[in-house]
Amino acid sequence: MSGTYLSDVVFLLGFALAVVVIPVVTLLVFGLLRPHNPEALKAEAYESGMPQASIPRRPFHMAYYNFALVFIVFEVETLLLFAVAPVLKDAGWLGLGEVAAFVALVALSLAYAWRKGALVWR
Amino acid sequence: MDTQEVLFVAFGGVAVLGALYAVATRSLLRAIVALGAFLTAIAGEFYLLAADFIAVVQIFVYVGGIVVLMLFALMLSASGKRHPLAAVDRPALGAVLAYAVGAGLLWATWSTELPAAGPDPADALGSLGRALLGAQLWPFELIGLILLASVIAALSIVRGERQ
Amino acid sequence: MSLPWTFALGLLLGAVAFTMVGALTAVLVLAERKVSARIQMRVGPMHTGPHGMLQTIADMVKLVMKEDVRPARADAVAFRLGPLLVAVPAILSLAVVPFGAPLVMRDLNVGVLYFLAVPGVTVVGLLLAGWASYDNYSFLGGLRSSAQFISYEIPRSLAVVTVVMLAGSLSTVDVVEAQGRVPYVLLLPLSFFIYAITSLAEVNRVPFDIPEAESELVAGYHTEYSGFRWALFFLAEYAGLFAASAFGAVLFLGGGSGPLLPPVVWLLLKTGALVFVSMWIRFTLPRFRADQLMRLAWRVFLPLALVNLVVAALVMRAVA
Repeated sequence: MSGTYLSDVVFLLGFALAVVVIPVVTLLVFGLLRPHNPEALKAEAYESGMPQASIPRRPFHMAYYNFALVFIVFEVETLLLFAVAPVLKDAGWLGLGEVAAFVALVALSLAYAWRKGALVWR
Repeated sequence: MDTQEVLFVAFGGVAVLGALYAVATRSLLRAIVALGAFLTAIAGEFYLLAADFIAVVQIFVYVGGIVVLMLFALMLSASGKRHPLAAVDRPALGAVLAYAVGAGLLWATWSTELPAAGPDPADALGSLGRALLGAQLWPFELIGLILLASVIAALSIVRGERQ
Repeated sequence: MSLPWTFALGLLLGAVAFTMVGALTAVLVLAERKVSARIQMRVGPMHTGPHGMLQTIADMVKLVMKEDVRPARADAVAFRLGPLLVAVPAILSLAVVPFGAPLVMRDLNVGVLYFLAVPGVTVVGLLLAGWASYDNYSFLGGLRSSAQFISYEIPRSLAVVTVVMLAGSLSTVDVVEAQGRVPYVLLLPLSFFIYAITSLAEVNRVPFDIPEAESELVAGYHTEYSGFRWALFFLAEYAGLFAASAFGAVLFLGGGSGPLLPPVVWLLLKTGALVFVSMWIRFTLPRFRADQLMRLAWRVFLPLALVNLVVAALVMRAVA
């Protein structure tokens, strides 16, 4: 088993710091070595060599949003399953039944979203 | 102050700064990113309080889910350049309510007698799992039911707006 | 170990992890080019160094020295933050991989969940990168990538839950120990299958690479990035591939266990095998369309994962 929670946090802070600082420093350091010739044409978006024809930042399909919504719900359910999974071995048939009931509810949510066509793309 | 307290305050500071920035900025995109920073700092606080499972859940659901959802909503409605308050109908009323709720929460927090922290629990994760299948069984199953209701509700709202 | 030393250790291992990922990318890119070459009946890079082995290093040097071109209307903060948010979580997830049972960077109590949760932050980076580039195609690539990632995250997590059920713990070290002499791939073959396929989708590998498809959206969300920033996306992809394979080896193939050879070697061998298989798949199968991809996630893999959950629970009872 691992050490205390505090030392976990301290470790992760150090780890994350290193992982973040290295690319940032590399970017800055090599920034001094890089050529820097800004030109208007370079700053245009790339669309296979033509002038930019598409206009970004306009309203888009909401289908993506549906998926994100449904995703949140299933994610919470999955995390609850993660909470009970480690102790399921010792929980006997009763525990199994309880989890099965929960999974049935999850399946029901999926079935509902499916029937309502929320799981279709475009 | 020992290290634990220093880190706790540090994370708290980041959280507060993130939250302030999120409210004060003019760009909705930056507000959401600041919210992400806030939520990550809160996850750090949870971990320091020996709630490592909750900390990871925070990252999983809030940063990996809610922030993403908000970004989707922002980007799909193309309202990035608008000031966050531009869509509000009655800003004055909203402000009064917000300050009232905020003050109420602060008062409740300050006036509560919190017990002193005990030692780190021996098997926090195991206790959580066993509780969910035992003493807290009804909340466990009820959450499943509520989530089912959430799916139904969310989908009917979204589809209602499409029509 | 006292706290300042723990912090220093974290710092050191973070640097090690980053370097390892860099070196790994160099090796994997070359390996990929060689594997694809053989499958396509040619030889691949042979020029730089013996048998082309220094090719990727040469490529990396070139990349770092490239001019940092930024589209004029890009949101500066989002543009800079995007690649970082994509690359950093991928490398952070390596902290819990047990390179041979005692040789883990940090054995978190909730290591398994940590490994699944941290890459979720990548999605934020993808969206920022796509949006910041102020170009419809980048934006679309970012959206598709994000939608794909979150859609496959659920079945993948559910497959991992079954392993946690059998192992009785969320610690990666415990999962390796719990397998003993019987790797979980034998007890939970369906879980392994689900994990393998969904992981391919999570790291944007063919047949799930529509967001970066060269013939489609130019290069998707990283079209407008050049030089080192682009390299970060690239690093993230290979870091993700390695991490997913290593994690798969830990969860299903028994991690570092095996006779004779030291555990580190076993883990790397198993990971390498999985990486090789993913490369093989890449150059053999055509890619899925965006709508096929999403349909597959929600209508095939998610129901499958739910059923598998029940099956695995029964297996758990039988084995206990």
